Amino acid sequence: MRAGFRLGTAGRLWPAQLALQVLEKSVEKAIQEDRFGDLIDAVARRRDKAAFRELFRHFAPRLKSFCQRGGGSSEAAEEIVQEAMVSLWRKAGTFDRSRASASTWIYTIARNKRIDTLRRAGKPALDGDDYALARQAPMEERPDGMLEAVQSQEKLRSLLQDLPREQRLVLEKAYYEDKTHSDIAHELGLPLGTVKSRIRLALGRLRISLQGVES
Amino acid sequence: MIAHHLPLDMLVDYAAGSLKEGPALMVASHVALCAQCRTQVAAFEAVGGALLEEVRPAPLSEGAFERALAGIDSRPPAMPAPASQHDLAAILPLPLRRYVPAKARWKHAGGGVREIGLKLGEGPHLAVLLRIPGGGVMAKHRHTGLEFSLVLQGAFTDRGARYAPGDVCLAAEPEHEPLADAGVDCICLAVIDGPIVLTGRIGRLLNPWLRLKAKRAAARR
Repeated sequence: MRAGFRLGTAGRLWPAQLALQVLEKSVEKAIQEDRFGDLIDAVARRRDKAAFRELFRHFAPRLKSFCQRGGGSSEAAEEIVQEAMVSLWRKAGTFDRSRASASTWIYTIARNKRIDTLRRAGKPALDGDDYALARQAPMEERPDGMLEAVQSQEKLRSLLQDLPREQRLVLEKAYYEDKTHSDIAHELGLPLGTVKSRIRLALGRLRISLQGVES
Repeated sequence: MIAHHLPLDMLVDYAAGSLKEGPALMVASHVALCAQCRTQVAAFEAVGGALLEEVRPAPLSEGAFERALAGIDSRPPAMPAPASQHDLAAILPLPLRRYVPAKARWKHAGGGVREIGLKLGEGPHLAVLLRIPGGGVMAKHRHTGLEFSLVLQGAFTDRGARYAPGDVCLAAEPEHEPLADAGVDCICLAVIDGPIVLTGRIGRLLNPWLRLKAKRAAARR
């Protein structure tokens, strides 16, 4: 159908149509995020195993891939995935979509599980329950930035895709491979300041406002 | 109002899950008290969520879902960690509580300063609760690494800046000598990533515990 709107040359799209497609895509993603939120709620309220299966089908293979990027074995990655998914089942009631998107919430669960695995002998990840933490914090109301940070998940993904390669690379090393700024600098043979500024530039491009932070 | 925050890169590393236990404890404790840094961390975690959606899914082994089902049916939900009954519990941010056992006691660190050493399971860092008497001074010392101090009670002044509950004081090279406000004792969480060198006339004689610990930490690296 869409082919009818194409220009004759090499399948290029009219800019307006391209914009429409991008918009459709992001709406689709937004709906999808919302659907995952609904599924987590179904797990929380009704202990709904069909909903759990759907979440598993989408997230477990991604979590596995994510965990393997740091160089772990397939078995080790699956073990973390198993623990993360069981944790998702248990903690579904603490999910709050006004605070984090479904994929962000699941990301934090898996991240904490991975830290637990690294610290086996020690204590569980410090932020094992981010939401309890958040509630503890006193006085100051939730700043506007929070809502912004949460709602823009779809926008975030499309901005991620547009990042210059070198910026994307340092972000991936930080998130997928669990490397600190200094680890990354060491590995890429770059000055620490360069890594810091690349990450800052990347965050800037992702339109994450960096407020009042010290350098 | 919290005026002194943690460096941005530390918050990113925390959200990405790459910090060692000592600095992670510092971030988690500050973030529990600071809405602004919590917002930042939430934004950085959203980057993690977006990256999770971006990865190419990896096929799972046969029966993975069934194993997860068995997992949710069999394992009882973990009990929440018992809250520390330590007298300090009221001023300790949640992530810090489990590091302070109910029976932990203040030990003299010299010059009226007292401390409780915290046990870390991982990494080369030292973590310690410090208690400086109101109006007292922490022995002049210099760092070969970084020291982060998070104020939990009271306040202190260091190199012209004042630090109140929730504030983080970051001390790198130049030697410093934090001075507690008069009145209530100042209690801080300190996380140190390098040996401390005590300077000043009295300082050199003080605080053998920190020196010993720092030596051990250096040896472990």
